[in-house]
Amino acid sequence: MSQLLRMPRIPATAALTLSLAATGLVACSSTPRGDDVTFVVSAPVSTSPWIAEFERNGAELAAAQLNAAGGVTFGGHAHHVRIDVRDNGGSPQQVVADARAAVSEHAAALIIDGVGAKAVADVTDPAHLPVFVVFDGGASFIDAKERPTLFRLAPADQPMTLRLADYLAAQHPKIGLITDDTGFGTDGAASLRPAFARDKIAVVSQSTVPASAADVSTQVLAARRAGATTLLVWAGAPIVAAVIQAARSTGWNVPVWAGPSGEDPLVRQRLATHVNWFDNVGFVSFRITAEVGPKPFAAYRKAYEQKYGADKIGVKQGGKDVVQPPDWSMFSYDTVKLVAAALAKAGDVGAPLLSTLEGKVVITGANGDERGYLASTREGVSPDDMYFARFHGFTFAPATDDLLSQNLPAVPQTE
Amino acid sequence: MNTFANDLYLLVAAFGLALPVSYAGLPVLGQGAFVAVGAFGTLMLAVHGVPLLVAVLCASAMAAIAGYVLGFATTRLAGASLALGTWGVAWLAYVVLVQFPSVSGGSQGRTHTTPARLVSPSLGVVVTLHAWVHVLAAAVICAALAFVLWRGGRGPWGLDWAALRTGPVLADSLGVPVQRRRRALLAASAALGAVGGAGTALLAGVAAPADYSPLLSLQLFVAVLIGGTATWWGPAIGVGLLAAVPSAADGLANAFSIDPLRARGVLTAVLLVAALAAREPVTRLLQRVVASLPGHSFRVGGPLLPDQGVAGAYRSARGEQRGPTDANEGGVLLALTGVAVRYAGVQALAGVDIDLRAGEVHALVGPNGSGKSTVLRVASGVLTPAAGRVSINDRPVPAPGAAARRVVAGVARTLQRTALLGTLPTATQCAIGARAQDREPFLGVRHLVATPVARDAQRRRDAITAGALELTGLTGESDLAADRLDSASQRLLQIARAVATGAPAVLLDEPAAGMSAGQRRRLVGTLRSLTDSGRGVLLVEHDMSLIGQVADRVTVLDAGRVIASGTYAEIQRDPAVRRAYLGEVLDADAQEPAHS
Repeated sequence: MSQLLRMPRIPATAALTLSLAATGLVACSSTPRGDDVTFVVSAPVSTSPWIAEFERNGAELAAAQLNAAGGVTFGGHAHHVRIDVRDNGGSPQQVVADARAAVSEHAAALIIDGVGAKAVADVTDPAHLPVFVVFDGGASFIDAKERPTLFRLAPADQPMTLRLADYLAAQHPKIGLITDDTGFGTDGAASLRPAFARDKIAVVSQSTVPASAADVSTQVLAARRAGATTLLVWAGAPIVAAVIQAARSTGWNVPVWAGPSGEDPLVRQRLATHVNWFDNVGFVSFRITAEVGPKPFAAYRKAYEQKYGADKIGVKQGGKDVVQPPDWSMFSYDTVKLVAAALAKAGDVGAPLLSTLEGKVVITGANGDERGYLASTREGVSPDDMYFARFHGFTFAPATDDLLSQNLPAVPQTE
Repeated sequence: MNTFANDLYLLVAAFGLALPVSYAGLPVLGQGAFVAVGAFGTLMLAVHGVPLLVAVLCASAMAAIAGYVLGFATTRLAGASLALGTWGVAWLAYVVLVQFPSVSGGSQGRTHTTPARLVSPSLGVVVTLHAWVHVLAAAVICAALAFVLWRGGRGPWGLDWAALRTGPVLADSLGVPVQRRRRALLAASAALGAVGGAGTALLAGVAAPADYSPLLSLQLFVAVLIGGTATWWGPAIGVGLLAAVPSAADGLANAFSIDPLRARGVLTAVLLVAALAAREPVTRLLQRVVASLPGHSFRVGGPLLPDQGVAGAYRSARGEQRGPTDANEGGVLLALTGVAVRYAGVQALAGVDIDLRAGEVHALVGPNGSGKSTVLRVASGVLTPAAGRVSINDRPVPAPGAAARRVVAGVARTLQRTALLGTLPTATQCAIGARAQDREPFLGVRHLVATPVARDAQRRRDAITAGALELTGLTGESDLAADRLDSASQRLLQIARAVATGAPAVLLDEPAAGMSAGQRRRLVGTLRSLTDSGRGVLLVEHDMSLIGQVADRVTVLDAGRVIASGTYAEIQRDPAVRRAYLGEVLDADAQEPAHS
């Protein structure tokens, strides 16, 4: 009897031994080859998979294209581009650990979503390792003097909020502002307040909700009672969905505006049975296509979807699947391409590369916009590249009542 | 190097958690909260100009206070309730951090320059905390903690911890201040968690809520769990395994051509379950390895007595053995005067007067529900009487609520049921009782460095243990795991433990239950030896023939009142007793009708 009871532990012990042995294999397999040029991508794989996926996919697509073209040539020979993706789990300490790994791997660059941005500089500055933030638009951490290795290739909150305030001011709204308690929410609120003050827009109610809140009816009701004529929600996608639900389910068809998270597929997935709730819902973000027209983005999108497939979000419109355009992935894609171009010019990683990135290299990005930095700036997306989009059912299109948005083409979102 | 340093700091927190979990048997799931207190406390104090070392010490002190307060709130809970209560604390800390970005720095966290520097303007010394310095510091702390667990587990602390782990109620009846010890362990655990947290934060240069989520508490708990029960090396094994599991998961994923990032979560969980399942055989294997090392011996179930063995210790230290303290021949050891107790409207005791003198066996008899066990509970301090007075050696007694203080004052009790301290060896169980005779302060700390006082105390405990075993006839079974004793020996072990406490008043609740005639004769001999040594025995027993053999006085209770008191012969003749209780017995013994 006792022998029988002990039996299951034998395979368990064997599995454990096997796994520990496998640890050694990993250690061997993760060692970079001498002629590789490595980009470390620290992404929130286990906590924010949507962000992690576009962060990773964009970088890997760029690497695949560069390698197909023979790699990156610097220092006299071509180098294979390697993308080392690490799960930071939304932890700044893990991002710092990833930064240390990047330094020890002599990586060309570190790509992060924005978590841990403040903390990595102590690790990356001495090593002259450029760090690119490809999602978080917070104003609190980009500082060319304090953190010279920290770049952003993503829309910053400040120009977005200024543009949004200018856009809304013409309608003389009374704003009910709802933010969440994440860095994204608090940074957004910090940018929105001065923007509204500048345009003399009344904020009649303001509330911060936990990012994990399932119901925001109280905050929406408070805004309604305070006389709000427009709801502005700057929070993660679940909160955006919760605000729309709370307003519409009570029959309140108030205009709802969101930050860039408004286009997160999760919002539409959560409200999949209420397509009419998206009437009068819009968001501010970066424009997907550039002045040169939709062709560059279309080409990028084709390459992206050939490699990864179309990102079906799980809802239909007009009998067709709604797909998410791979817009955010352009930033990690452009980062790899920009750094590769800088490497070819600089001749080596580290200080020469960092110096070259400071105003000596400009590329044409995935959507046709130019990507590059001045010596004194670390923002890679122009303030003029912001636009407003409105939902039409489950798809969105540039707003037609804004001068910069109205001339942008709508990006196909069904197939 | 940085990863290794980080793991070592987590090991510090795991060593701390091992105290309540592995050594005291408390399922504490809130260590992450104290790690967070250390991390954020240190960084916040450092921002305000407090020197780093002072900041770490202050943060640890704050955590220790929080741990002690948590002990007040939770250590009376048991099992799942305690686990959930402490898990709630882990959540509370996380929610507070998330809700107050001014404290935590929000999702970007609270940052500190890295590598940090220790600056002493007075000495003109600056130490930069490079990764290797962190490794060195954390390794030294870990080594010190391993030593404390190894050495401390074999001394007075080890005895107390074993008692807490294996039978807290019984430990209380043997004089171990259970709640105080548990609170102290939680405070120490919290302080060490904070040291670990401070280390991780200074190493990374950042602390954010996401780094101290309740998941961290769970990971540390699992690490300690994997390491096994009361093993000084256990936390190291657990943390090592946890550190290796994600890499191992990646290895498996690569081996099977699965995307490591997608598979890591699932494979990590699978490997963790495998590690937990493999825990016991691995622990047994490691125990054998450790035991085979020179200078080591291993005994399953708890701390060791000295290498010379019980009998040897007894012989060598017999002269030092203390007898029953304050036992005056014929003097009153224990007195209950006018004691009244009510249970939910039922008058369990109504103005009961009972005393116990040195050198006597005072039997307490009466039908079921007459209040005998209630008398013992009042006398031993676990029950507060509604009225009346209890005195020990004519002195006021410690406040009721726990038996431990009464034991030190001079009253020890056995439980009605057979209660063992798990599988601890017989001698170790007695040694735990002998702890009640330790009067020297900081004996656990002194034991760590083997001071003469600590060595003397250990010799004394060994002598007391040997004496108690000899008195109960268990010397030959001193090394046997208690659960392998026969039922009679287990009942005698209960007496031996109570005797070892040194309490002159020994309260025995039905010690003969389940004994054969031969075993009862052995018990009679033991009781005689107890009284010969000057102790007084208050004996609750239903076996009137046993009482007839050993009792010097008999008090008869009925419905919570004393209806008779005197010698066995006197109460036999008392008509009230005959009516209430003894009729049938006398009928059998004297061949007289019970109710004439």
